[in-house]
Amino acid sequence: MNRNLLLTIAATLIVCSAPLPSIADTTKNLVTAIEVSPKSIQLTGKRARTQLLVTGVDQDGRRFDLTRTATIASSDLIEVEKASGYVRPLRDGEGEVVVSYQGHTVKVPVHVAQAEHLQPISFRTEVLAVLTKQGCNSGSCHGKPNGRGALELSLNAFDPVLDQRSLVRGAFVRFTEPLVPEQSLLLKKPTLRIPHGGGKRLRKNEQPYEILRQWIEEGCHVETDPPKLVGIDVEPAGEQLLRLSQTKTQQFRVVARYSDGNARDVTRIATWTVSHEDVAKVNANGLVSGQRRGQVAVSVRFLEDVESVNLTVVEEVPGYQWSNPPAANLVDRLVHEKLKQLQYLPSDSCDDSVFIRRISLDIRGLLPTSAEAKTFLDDRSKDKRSKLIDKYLGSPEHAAYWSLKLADLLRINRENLSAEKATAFSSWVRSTVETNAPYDQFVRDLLVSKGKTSQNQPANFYRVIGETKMVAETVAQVFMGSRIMCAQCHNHPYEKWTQDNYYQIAAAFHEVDPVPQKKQNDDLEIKLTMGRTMANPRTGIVQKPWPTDVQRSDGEDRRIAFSNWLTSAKNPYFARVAVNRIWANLFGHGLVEPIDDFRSSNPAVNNKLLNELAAEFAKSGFDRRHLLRLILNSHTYQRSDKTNEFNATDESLGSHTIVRLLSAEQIQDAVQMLCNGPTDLKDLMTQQSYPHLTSFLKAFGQPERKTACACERRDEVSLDQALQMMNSRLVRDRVSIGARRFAKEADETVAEAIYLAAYSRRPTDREKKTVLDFITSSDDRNRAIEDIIWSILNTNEFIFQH
Amino acid sequence: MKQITTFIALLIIPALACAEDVSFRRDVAGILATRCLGCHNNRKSEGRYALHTFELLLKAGESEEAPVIAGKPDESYLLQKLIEADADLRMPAEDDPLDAEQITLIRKWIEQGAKFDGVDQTIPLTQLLPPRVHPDPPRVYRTAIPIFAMEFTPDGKSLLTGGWHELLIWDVETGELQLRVTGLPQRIYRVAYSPDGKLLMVCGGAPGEYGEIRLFSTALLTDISLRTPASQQVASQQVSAESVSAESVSARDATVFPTWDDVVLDCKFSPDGKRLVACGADNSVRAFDISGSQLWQTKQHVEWVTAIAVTDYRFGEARTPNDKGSKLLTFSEHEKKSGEHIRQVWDFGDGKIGSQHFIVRASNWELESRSQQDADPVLTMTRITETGIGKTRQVKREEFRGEQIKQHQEILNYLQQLYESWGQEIEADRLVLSASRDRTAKAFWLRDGKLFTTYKGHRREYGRLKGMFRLYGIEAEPNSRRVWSGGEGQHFHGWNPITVRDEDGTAADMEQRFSKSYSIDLVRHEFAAPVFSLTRGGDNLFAATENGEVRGYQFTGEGAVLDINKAGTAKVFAGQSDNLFAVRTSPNNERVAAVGYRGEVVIWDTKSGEMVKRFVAAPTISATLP
Repeated sequence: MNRNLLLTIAATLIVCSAPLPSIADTTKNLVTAIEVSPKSIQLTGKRARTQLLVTGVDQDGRRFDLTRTATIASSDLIEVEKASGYVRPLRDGEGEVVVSYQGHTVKVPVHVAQAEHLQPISFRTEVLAVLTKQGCNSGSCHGKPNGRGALELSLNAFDPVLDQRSLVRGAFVRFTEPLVPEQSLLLKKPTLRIPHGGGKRLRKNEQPYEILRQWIEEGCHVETDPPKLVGIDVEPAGEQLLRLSQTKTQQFRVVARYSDGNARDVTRIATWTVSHEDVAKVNANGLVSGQRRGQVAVSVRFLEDVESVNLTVVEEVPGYQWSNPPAANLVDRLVHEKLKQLQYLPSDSCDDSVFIRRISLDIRGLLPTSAEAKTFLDDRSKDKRSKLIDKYLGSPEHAAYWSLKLADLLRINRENLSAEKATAFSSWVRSTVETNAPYDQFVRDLLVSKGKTSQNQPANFYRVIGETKMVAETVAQVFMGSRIMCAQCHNHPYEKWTQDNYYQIAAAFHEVDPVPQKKQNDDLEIKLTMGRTMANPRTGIVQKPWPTDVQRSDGEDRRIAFSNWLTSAKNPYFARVAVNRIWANLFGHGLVEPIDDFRSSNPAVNNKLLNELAAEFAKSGFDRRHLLRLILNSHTYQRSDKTNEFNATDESLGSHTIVRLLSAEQIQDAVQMLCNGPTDLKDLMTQQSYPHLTSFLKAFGQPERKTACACERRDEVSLDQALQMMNSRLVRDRVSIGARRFAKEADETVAEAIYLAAYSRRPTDREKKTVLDFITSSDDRNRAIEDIIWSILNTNEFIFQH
Repeated sequence: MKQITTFIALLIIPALACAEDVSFRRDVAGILATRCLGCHNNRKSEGRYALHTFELLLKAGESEEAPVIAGKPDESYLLQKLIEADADLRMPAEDDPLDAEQITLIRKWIEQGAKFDGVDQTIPLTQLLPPRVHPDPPRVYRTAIPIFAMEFTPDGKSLLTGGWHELLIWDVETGELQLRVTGLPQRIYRVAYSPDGKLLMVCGGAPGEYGEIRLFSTALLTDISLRTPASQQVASQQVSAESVSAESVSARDATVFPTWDDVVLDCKFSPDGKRLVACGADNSVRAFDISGSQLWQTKQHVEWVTAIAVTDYRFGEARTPNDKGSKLLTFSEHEKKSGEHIRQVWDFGDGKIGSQHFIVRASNWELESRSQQDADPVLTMTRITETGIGKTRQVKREEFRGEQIKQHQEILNYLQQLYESWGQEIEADRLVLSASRDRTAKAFWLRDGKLFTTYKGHRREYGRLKGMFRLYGIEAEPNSRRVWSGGEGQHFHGWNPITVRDEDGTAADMEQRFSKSYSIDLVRHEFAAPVFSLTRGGDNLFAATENGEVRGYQFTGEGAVLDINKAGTAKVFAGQSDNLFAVRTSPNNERVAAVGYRGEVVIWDTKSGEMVKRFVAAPTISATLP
């Protein structure tokens, strides 16, 4: 072989094997200062550990994570794991850990004691943490009732007594071998030395395995009175930003605080999860890796405690330039801020015909009549849009349609109430919308109601729902956006709701007497028995009613304090949940999704917007119409559904309107109004007091109102829906009627008449020609018009909100 | 070039010299069982491929690629998956790859023709594996371990306890360690002597991994030439002069029965000593011939079978045409309708003519005869009146003894004759009794394992005995048709398998509709925790619990109070604590011992209830544990 060629190859290999230049070395990431947390390091005992966090601050004051790229020097006292900032003790003494980056240096004092002493493993804080972290006690494995393979553990270790019994002596001491710990089933199965349905959950020589092994070797001791976990501190906390152009990763750390005053870094035995893996991932060591722009919650669980951090991931989109469109109000201001941050561009505004149709459907549930459409399109005044909004908000149809949405949540249906009683209850709800009663008053009236249901309509709330636990779950889901039903049997797996909390909320409603077997026509009376207590069935301990820190006087209806707490302007749930529901009704998706699943581990797509709207709502005295007006008048609401290069992938931030299927009632009414023309309100489904359950409506997702879940109204698309629109009796009948309606028009004007009625717009020349040709070329004029109407009914423009 | 040829030759020669035959059973089956079987078995077949039998190992899965092509390892899909470079596609899935040695063995095996060196290609892989060679236990234990198995030697002077891969033999008086029997499974759950005392059976295994039964001659314990002195045992830690150890002898050449998939929890010899029955955590009940072959296996239970017993009696029954019976008999409605009546015999003893104790029944008459040393046999006659069929069935029993029998002399003669002619000829068989965590007890025929009946009395939704209770113990009462079962709950249940079978589906059984219960006997015990171990000793039933309590109850006579509401009188043996897993009596019933989680044996005098000895049954650094 040619010697020169050999040299070239060697040289190339050497160059290629050199490490790639790290992102941190580019001039883009010049820092003016670095910070290190914690400010000092205390390591006591051989197994003590600390996760360091190194943060860089650039010339614009922006902060980003340098933990993996800064130089952290090991010394004779401590050893720093490569590229992770994880510190362990080597020998006793006092010293410094030197952290440096781009010439900046920070010296962190370190104190190491008892470096040779291997502390015994704590069952409560280490073994249980490991079993949670490795997923052993999850709800699909050993944490389910009766466990698996004779090992029964409590979900996320919420019951340490059960866990101790199972692990140490369970099933004839099946799981541990103190004499030869490596032979314990608890270690052999998860390392796959023996087949394990749960797969490989432990690796030898890694910390979780070592903790379990050492615990068994020490004789499976369980401390009798361990210090209690007081709280956990996550760092960095609060709202965080991850700029992918600066760094792809963000290291987190978590410290656990105990009742004996001790604090311990538990970063690597806590359980790390993220809400949206497509936005960012997290590994077992608390290192978050950003994937793409978006919103994500990083959650960490350590024993009973859960904390979440809201993380926004931003990336540079090539060619992006903010277009600086006008902002009509705070909605636009905050939506634009988020769009700019995540580098999306808003679309243009929708045209007038789209606008009137959209507004009419969203506010009144109905299509605009042709006359309404024509008037609006021809109107030349500048403020016609906001005037139309006001007009529709004041209409009786609006009150009926929006009270239907409330009736869904209050479960007003024919099963629990007779037609007459359902109508009466619905009418009360409707009147509160009509008079624009403050929302907080409305909720308070519902919650503290009692007496004869015929005289006090809000008391039907209790009649319909029934027993205490259902009331608690309904109230929590509808007004607090919290799905607490999980906490009935154990602590909530994702949130801070404990089982005790569940029974505390239930206790607030437990004075309401159980509703007897319902007969629809009975005039039921909702009575109270003061002082009735509620205990947590698992522990037997009676629970104080929620909120537990409020002093209630003797004989006072417990629900009063609860509803005052709930509807207070400072309540973290009430306004936000209400705003979210209203937003979801107008945009097809909430700022938080699902709309009744508010968790710190389920972040809003625009938290600032949600919070400010909630504050505005509370400030206005919970004035729903004011809120609606604010949102409807924003440019964000009035955007077109046409996307541009820079917003085609946005599905939730409001850069453009998302097309969505009309609701079941809206579709039926739209068909009706197109074909029959102006119709009596009593024949329109969007104006009804209770659901008229037909197969047509069911196909399009009408809820039976059996639960308080917003998900009961299904929004999935199905074959049944297509078939209904093509072939159902309802559609066929209507089409014939419609043909008779439009037959009165002259051939040339049929198109305009139909299009205005169906789409609130005039047909294009081409569309006019198509219709005209079709009519004139057919033998049966009536039939031809039927076909045209049928075709129009089956277009997307008709049955979608756009 | 010449250099290269020599170089290559030097490579090949050692390779040729090492090409010994790879045995599927010895070399390959074990690898597949530990690394592959978890996802490719009869319950879970990832990629629609299973290899729990050799036959299935060769069948392609979803990929439709032949897993093994004899002589062509590189074309065999199985091997291709093992050596896959991409970790996401490699087997075992989501785990570390096999060792280079293991892969080489598999490759060689395929190269050499992928031969099967077992007998049956359809039996489970785990049963093809050669018997395990167990590791030696450490000379000294750094901690006491839970003990599940314990037994007195036939002379009552020594006590056997389970250790780590060994049996330990202790002097009952001094608590001194006398001998160690090694080469045994990791955990031992039961040790039992054969009825003639010449064989010793040990059952156990490693939880979740395997179960094993070993059988060896007791000569192993007495033959001094087989022993290894303590000084030659390997110690993993500092051993001082005070170290407690003893000579050891290995059971590696014992008869090893086919491996189970999980631990064997209990085992018993049949009274004639020719067969043994066992049960385990794989929910199975099995019977074996003492030579080592399995006779039958059944998985009627749906959870662990925790205890097993064999009736003292052999039972036989037949239906006879009514005209062949005696005119002295009164047939029930059902018998009249069907034209046949029942004949049953219970034979306590070894079945030879002149048996000491038997019961024979024909239709509505029953005779029980117990022979005594130098006197006439004690006779009891019972007239059974059965009314109704199915849901309305009711049974009344009237007993006649001593002088009363003279009134029924003719029947007596008939029944005695019946026993001698028919009773001795019929193929009477013993029943195997099992107790399970599935809250039932079952009875099976010893000869073929067919289910005789299921006792569901520990599982009731209504009534005073309401509850679902796991069972941990079952014992056949000596010289009686009664069986005792216990575990969780507040009662021992005494029941007759034949009665239970007859009552199944009848009013007595249909508690939900008629709020009745089986014709069973109950002893209410006052234990505060579940019973984990039951044993019989003489006339007594001994029980030990999860919380260290030990009590003895008399089966019959004054102490047996068969009233659901009254506690049976118990003899209390105090001094133990924590989970107890075994309670045993010495052969002469003068001593009772219990041991459990703490590994500490306590021995009491049966009559007085006084503790006579207490010691930690582990070879330790010092005689007392920290």
